[in-house]
Amino acid sequence: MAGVAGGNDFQWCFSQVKGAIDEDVAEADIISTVEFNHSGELLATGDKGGRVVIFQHEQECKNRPHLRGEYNVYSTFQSHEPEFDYLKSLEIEEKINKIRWLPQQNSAHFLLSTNDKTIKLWKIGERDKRAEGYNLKDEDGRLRDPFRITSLRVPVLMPMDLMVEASPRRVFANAHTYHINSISVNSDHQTYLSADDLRINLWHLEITDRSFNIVDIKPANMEELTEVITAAECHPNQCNVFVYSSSKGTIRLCDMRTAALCDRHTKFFEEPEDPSSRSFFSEIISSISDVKFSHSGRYMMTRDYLSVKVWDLNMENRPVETYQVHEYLRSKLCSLYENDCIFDKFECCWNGSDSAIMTGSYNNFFRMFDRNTRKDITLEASRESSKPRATLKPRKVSTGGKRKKDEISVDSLDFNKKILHTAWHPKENVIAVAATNNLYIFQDKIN
Amino acid sequence: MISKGQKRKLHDDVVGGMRSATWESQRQSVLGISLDKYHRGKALVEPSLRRSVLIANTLRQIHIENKPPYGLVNLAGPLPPMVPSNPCTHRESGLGVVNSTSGVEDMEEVWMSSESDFSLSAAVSSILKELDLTVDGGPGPQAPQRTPFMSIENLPRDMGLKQAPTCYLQDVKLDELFHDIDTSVFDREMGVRALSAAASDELLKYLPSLSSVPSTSPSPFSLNQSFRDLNELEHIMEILVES
Repeated sequence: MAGVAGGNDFQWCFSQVKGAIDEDVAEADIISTVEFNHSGELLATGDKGGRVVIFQHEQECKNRPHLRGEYNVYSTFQSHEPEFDYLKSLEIEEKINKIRWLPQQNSAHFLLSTNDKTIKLWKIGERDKRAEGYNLKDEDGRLRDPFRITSLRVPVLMPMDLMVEASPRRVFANAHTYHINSISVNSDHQTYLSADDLRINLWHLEITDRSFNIVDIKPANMEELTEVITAAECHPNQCNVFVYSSSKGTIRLCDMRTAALCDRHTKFFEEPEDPSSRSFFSEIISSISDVKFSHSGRYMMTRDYLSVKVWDLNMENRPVETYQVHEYLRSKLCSLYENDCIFDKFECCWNGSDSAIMTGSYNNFFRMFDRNTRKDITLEASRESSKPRATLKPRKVSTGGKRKKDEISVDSLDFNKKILHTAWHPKENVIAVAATNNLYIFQDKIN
Repeated sequence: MISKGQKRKLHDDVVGGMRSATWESQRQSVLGISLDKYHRGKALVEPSLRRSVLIANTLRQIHIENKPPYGLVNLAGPLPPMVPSNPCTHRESGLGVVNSTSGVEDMEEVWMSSESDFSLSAAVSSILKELDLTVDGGPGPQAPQRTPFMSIENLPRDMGLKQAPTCYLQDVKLDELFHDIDTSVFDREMGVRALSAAASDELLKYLPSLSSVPSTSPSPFSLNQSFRDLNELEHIMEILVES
């Protein structure tokens, strides 16, 4: 069986790229989150300018069935605006930190988008009909003079050009003192959690004026603070279970049935430190930047600076699988600390069947690991390899003294080109990779 | 008690490993970078709590690994003037096993460690306490709000505290903090009191990128930030040398 990471039968090829080609990248256009919806039909991106762009998968061409359909813009809207916190004299960025789709329950689509402080529920609906023949107003909307109305008629629905409207349905504000890093919709489809550096709140989707605090790790004396929450997620099918990760490389699994306040975890996941690789930066590189449950709910995956780890929820003392993303950076940690790259937060994602995982790296490289074949592959999101249906060539970073042809040396890597956000279609081999201000879509080669 | 008769061990250059630079110069480099980072972190839109906590923890770790080994308690007499120490002082990388042969340096380290004990942890505490003021707007212990959150206007009155001064670290504590840097290495190269522009080039040598992969092409890890470090270090060294 061919694996997705470089098996003989399997190849990734370029499908589309969205975004400006200019060398000068506007800060506001930098993509900050990417997420497929549950069917994979819609792909949402958020950017630093507070905008959300949703792409829709077009139906395959009947004429050319060998081509998978493309993703085209479906809706664009301004989700968050910059704000100013007058109490602290600080700006609140409009950057969209996370987007999470709600499972679809009717013809409209709902998603949650959040910046550092405020979460919003957006409804994206289609309108392809309009009513004509009102009694009280003209076709152009002007009110008719009531004395002129002599007869009564029933308005008729007439077709119109498809219009996609996004409207904010709920605003969940003022519940987070610190920066929100995660939101996660619960499997009960009624509640969701939001996590900042020190607290996690549980919300009901219908109720905006209050939330329930379920985790609080703020010490009474801030001088004793040594650990922050970095990510949180609800279990995919157990609505009482969630996990949160920390800056010290630990993951806590909590059961909301045990207590109203989940400060005491049910399970504690931590891998013992390898004493031979200890350095000043051991803690910083162990800080977990993302945690994701597998679709099955049996495993979870964590991303720290240099590796991705897969954990079995039944085993707390070590991960069951560890994948090195860019181990060649271990000798560069001091420089990466100096230029702040060591604080970059990479995300990770599962494929639909949980057989493969993907995460980003520098130089616009991203990595895929096949859990069954144990193969891995490094690919690049670049304009050079952006010809339609062009197969992506595997890339390699040379770590030894001799650099082979086509390899790139560690010192030549561009650390400003970082792939922090990637997403995998829930059912098919289609991936979305955010490279600064461009969104690349790749798919498997259909023979 | 430090064993004076123990042989010094030179580190082999291991390509790709952290041990290619001396542990001490790395420690100083990381210390300088960390303080600079904290300093400039306040210019950001809003300080990232995660980043500040990680930097503070790194500073703590530097402090812990500077401590003399357990059992060394002798504080012998007044501090002798900064003398050029034996340049081949190495420490085993890893957790604080001090392996030096100079008796004077022992006393220096003991004195500096116990002094810096207080000042470094005080600096770290002040970093986090100020975070509390900046981010949370409240002084210290507050009962965690378990009740439904109300709008921000209803939060306790004392949130209107004034901002802590931005140059918090540039008072006395910063100078005390740098007392424990072993500047004897610099003195040896530059002469005792010369702090000229040429000397800053020399200083550059002691702020390497610590890359063990030799590269002839300009490294993408630019040392531009180190130049600002240098100005700060120069200023501090002036104070040290004059005292």
